[in-house]
Amino acid sequence: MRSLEVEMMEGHEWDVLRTCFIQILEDTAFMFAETTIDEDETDETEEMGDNLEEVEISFSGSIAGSLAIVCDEAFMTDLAANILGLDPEELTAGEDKIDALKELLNIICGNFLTAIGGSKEVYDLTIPKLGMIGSIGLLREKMQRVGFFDVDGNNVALALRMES
Amino acid sequence: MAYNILLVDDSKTTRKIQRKILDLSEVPLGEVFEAGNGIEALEVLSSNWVDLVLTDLNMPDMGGAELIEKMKVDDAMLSIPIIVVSTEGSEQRIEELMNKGIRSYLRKPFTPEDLKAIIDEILGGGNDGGA
Repeated sequence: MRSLEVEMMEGHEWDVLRTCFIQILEDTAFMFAETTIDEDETDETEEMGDNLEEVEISFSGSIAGSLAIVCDEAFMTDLAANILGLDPEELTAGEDKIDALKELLNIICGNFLTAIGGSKEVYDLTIPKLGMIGSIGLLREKMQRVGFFDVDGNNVALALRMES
Repeated sequence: MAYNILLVDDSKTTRKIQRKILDLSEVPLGEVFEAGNGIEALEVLSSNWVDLVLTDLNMPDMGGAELIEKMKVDDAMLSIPIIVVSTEGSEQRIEELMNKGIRSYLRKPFTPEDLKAIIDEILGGGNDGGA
């Protein structure tokens, strides 16, 4: 049975992660994210649609776990275009879009870990990898906490799993 | 004098951003090389004159820390200034890198001004002495 202390800590970590996500999107891509729904409000997740892309990164150290971002191609296109200062039409390679998403997750993870663990802790991060999540339901099964954001009109899911 | 610079990062996006910032800097640029990991970086370094290396840490096959170690034991590479550009936030890791001889460390996300200031400082910032 999970203690109240553990649950409170995870709540704090989620708040920190959400703040990192919003701030880093703004700093790196000039994109603005708003929380749309929290994890328990499942019905709205169908709006994420099909053909979702997922990137995931794992971390280990004094805390361990993984982070994931799930989105559609429209968000990846906008993200890469904003980061690179290009028009979305100028982005032809799908590889560039995926690369931008992986780099965003990498930056979020590094900053999240320092924010929750402090600069004295040492963490190892994996290389972000691309997955193909079939549904938000599968994401929920894999991760402990999932939140949904509206990022300049795009639906994006952010997920966290912490190992105890 | 124009400077040759090597950008080492497994993210093509980051390398493109760094290239753009270099173009905006006061530094007279020669050739800008790119590598996706430490192995590719060593190949570039072994066959080209490079004046400055910007490297990430967390990369596949050979990361930035190993690249730095290999550069520092190679007579032809040991004096090349290295700037680490990474998400790493651990004081211990950064101190270890400084002890290995890197010139500067910049944490992602960075602003163009942050990177430009470091490059200008290390390479002199152009004909007028730079920033």
